[in-house]
Amino acid sequence: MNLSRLWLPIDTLGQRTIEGLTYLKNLVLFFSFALTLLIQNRHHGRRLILREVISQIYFTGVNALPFMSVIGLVLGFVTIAQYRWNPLLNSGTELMGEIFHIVILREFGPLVTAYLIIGRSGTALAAHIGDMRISHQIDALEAMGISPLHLLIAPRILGGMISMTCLSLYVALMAMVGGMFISGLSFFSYFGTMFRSLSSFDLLILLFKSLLFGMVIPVIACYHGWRVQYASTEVPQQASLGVVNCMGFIFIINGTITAALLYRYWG
Amino acid sequence: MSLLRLDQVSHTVGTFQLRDISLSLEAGDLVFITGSSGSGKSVLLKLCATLFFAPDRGSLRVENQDISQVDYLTLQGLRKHIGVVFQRDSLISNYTVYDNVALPFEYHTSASVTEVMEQVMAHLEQWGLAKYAHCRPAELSTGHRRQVAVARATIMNPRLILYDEPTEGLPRLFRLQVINHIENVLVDHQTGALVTTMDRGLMDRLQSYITRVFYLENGRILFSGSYPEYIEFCETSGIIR
Repeated sequence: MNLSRLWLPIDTLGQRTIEGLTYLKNLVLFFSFALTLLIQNRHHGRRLILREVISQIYFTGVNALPFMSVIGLVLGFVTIAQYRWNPLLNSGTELMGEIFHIVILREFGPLVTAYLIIGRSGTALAAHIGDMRISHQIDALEAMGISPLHLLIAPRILGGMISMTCLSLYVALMAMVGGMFISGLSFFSYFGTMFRSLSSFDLLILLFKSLLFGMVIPVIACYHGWRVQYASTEVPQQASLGVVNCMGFIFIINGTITAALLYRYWG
Repeated sequence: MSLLRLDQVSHTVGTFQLRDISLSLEAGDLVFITGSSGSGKSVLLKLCATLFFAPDRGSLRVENQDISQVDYLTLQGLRKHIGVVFQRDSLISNYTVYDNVALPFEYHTSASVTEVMEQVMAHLEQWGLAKYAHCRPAELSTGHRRQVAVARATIMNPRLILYDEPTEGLPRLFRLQVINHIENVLVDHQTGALVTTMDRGLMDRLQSYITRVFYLENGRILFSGSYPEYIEFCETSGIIR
């Protein structure tokens, strides 16, 4: 038996680890270059950068509002419905607020919002940057002395962070409204219960996760668009790869934050 | 002062290699790079536009600054004085004509919205493009897109303009406009211009301004000299101009 075959799985594992670490390093470099240029070139094209940020917020945030409203309402509705008709949890309204905040504010609010943004805007970002690469628009910007990382990438990251944070808060609010319909409580007693049990810690977790997800999604999506080099067939390939990687990263980051919180409480 | 200077430059892009290229260009000079398709004209133009940053070997100097020695921010500063007209226009597809032309001016200057508008609209008027200001590039003909690309490349009054096949695929009227524009740029503004072309008519029309012609083949300079010398070279070596 050829002994080298025994090493094959270890060899493959090592190879994959190196590839993964290189990918991670490239993402960090991509993000830090964009951020550095945003600071270093702060006196250049302020109006242009602001316009790009606003259009990103409009596209990622404002355009998604109707869809997010429905998702938020349904999310809140099912959460409160599960609470009310679960024999183990049904203890009147005492725990309704706590359960809602744990499920919606800390976990599913930011997570569901992030996944919807990946599906809606992540693919679009990767495809747009990829198209700009193959049609030499990125070269044209470089030739004009305009850094594409400064003009295109940094505003998309900023816009993504702002949109994601606002949308997460909006989804949480809509979920609260959605839950009201099934809670069996009056308007004032329902919202009274909700806001009494709301802690600043829940809100902080929501904001922290949203900012982080809002930063990670455009960075990964734009990075994959940036990797397009020659052919238009690379655009959908990189866009779908970007989406899959975004989903994986968000899942891992969310799990890590939750694990860190659990460790803080019970560790 | 030399605007652009290449000394024994070699550079590899994919499988293509430019070898031992030396040329220099000063204010008011008109340099033509010619050669058959795939000879490396566009690669050389991109190299001159510093889009590959420093070359693999040799030295590339823009306004007496060695590109391999400058940082990215300095390079950005140098690039704003170089106008590049790409073969495929490379206009920003989601920007309007106005936004495309305003882009370098708005980025590199701290001009107010009114100043930008005045400057850009005056520039668009010069090219007869004012009525298309709110159109997207995809709504325009090839000729108009090329005009927008030239308008964008010249709005910062660059000291050096690089044209990649500026007349390729253009109808007669637009072709004449581009030729007149190059004449104007050389005479009135004393700007240096480097043009890559296979268009014999373009060279004939601008022959009185031509400082030097370079003929490329397989990434090497096969000939360099004045325009009359180039014609002689073509006749003796059997190259169809």
